[in-house]
Amino acid sequence: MNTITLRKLLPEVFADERDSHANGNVWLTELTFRRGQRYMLHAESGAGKSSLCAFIYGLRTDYSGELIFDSTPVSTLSPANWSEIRTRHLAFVPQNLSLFPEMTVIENIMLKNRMTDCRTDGEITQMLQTAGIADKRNTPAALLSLGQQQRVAIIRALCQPMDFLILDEPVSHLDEANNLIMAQMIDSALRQNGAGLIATSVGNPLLITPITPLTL
Amino acid sequence: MNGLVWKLLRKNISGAQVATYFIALLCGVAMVMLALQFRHDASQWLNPEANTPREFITVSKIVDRSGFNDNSFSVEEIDHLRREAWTDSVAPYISGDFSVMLSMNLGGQISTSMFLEAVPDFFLDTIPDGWSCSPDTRTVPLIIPRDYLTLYNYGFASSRSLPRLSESTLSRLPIRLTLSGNGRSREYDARIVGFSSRINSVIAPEEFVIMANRVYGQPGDNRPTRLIIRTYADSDRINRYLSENHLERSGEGTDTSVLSNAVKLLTTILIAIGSAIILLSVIIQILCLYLLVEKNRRTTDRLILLGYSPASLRRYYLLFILLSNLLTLMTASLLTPAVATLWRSMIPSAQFTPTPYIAGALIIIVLTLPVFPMLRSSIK
Repeated sequence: MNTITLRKLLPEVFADERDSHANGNVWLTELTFRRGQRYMLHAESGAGKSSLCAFIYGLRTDYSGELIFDSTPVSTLSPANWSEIRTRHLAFVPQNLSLFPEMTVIENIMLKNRMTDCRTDGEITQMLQTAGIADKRNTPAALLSLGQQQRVAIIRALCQPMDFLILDEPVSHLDEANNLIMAQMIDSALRQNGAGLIATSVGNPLLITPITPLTL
Repeated sequence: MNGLVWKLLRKNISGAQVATYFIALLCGVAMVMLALQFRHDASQWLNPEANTPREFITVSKIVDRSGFNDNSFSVEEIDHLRREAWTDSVAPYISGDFSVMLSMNLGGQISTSMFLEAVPDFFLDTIPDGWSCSPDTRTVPLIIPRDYLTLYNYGFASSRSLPRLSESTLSRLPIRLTLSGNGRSREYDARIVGFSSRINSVIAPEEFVIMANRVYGQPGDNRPTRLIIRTYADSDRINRYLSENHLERSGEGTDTSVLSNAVKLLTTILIAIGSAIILLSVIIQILCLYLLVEKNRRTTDRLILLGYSPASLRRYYLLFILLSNLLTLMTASLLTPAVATLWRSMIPSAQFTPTPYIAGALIIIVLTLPVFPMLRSSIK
């Protein structure tokens, strides 16, 4: 997957206020995200950042306009296609992280890695050490702080091949030092895969460069 | 299969629900399998060697109220009987068409009118020593029904304070037969050489009766009134034929049709009850599965978000149901022969039949089928 194109896309919830959403770079325009490029979506709460991530990842379809992967409208994709896309082409960290609270850190990560067979045990251990949560390896996710959970969710997302990485406010609960550590880890994975990045921020952006800012 | 996924999906499985479903299904399947096994074993007991002729019956026409209807069988009627699938061999009783006077000395001279009949030796239950006769014979061997001796010993002799007679005693008694007819008369010595449980008549060798008919009988058409038949064990068909043709039977053949029908009715009721239990257990299965899928909804959604396909997640539930049902089938398959030993000791001829096991497997397959659309509509 080399491009993700938004053609006059607008969440249905904004249908009655089209004018107020026509001034940004994303809604009601033609916007193409390209593989290898990095994009940072800045907006205040309620502007539709998480909605856009969910649209691209195929979790929601409550929008008007068109969403196209390369030349394929996403409306034509089957559940099996989506499974393949989420395993091989799109990696995603949702705002709510979607960890399994009763499972340990390593179990949460292995749920992804066993499916993709992307990382070795050694690589995963190294990523946990880099993120500063190696000692939490066997701790249930429910017992972690939000910042630690965000780091687990990011590592899990990086355990797959990808064309694009979608991060919905991924470091909102991290301090600057940990933000930089995770940004380096993400940068390394993006370079390794030649992947693009679509990240959102509401005030504490991922400290990764270079990146193209967009407003909603 | 990913053990971590199963760990997530199984956390909401209720042991009590699974046990209820397992026990209900096991009861239903085992009941159906046992009913089929019992029906098979009982049919072997009631109709052993159904393909081998084994029973001998005597048939005659039903005597009507007047008592003067023609009770004889025509050649066509005998041929018709021979063509029936349930008959193996058919032969007429050869009636002695002459007068017979029997006299014997039991402390005092007794004499009585009687009759003689003959059947081919093939139809005799025993061919005793001395059962032969030549044209110039002076001593006629006789076979009498064993029931006659019983009647005498326990009916007549007891009431008259007469000595009871054993078979060997009776065999030694000197008997004289006077055959007369056609203007001729002659005395013969006779001896009882055997007793029959099969043929309810006084039997002399076939050659002797034929010869005596020629000498003392009236010339003309001497049509038989009784037929002896070796049959295949098929009580239903035999009874139907006899009823349709106004015939009645006697002889050693056992009328098993009533018992056979009772067994069929009983096993059909058991199969119906078992099927109802299976139907209920299928409903329990679907409800339990639906509940489990709903409890796991959040987990399932998160796994799909991670990239697991709905089809791959459905396989976990399907495997769980298949294994559970397979365990039920295996348990029922072990129970069936174990419980069947209760009655099989009484039916040593009972042989293995795959029918209950095929039926059990089919039931398991059929009741697993609704799981596919249910899962397809719930996990997508």
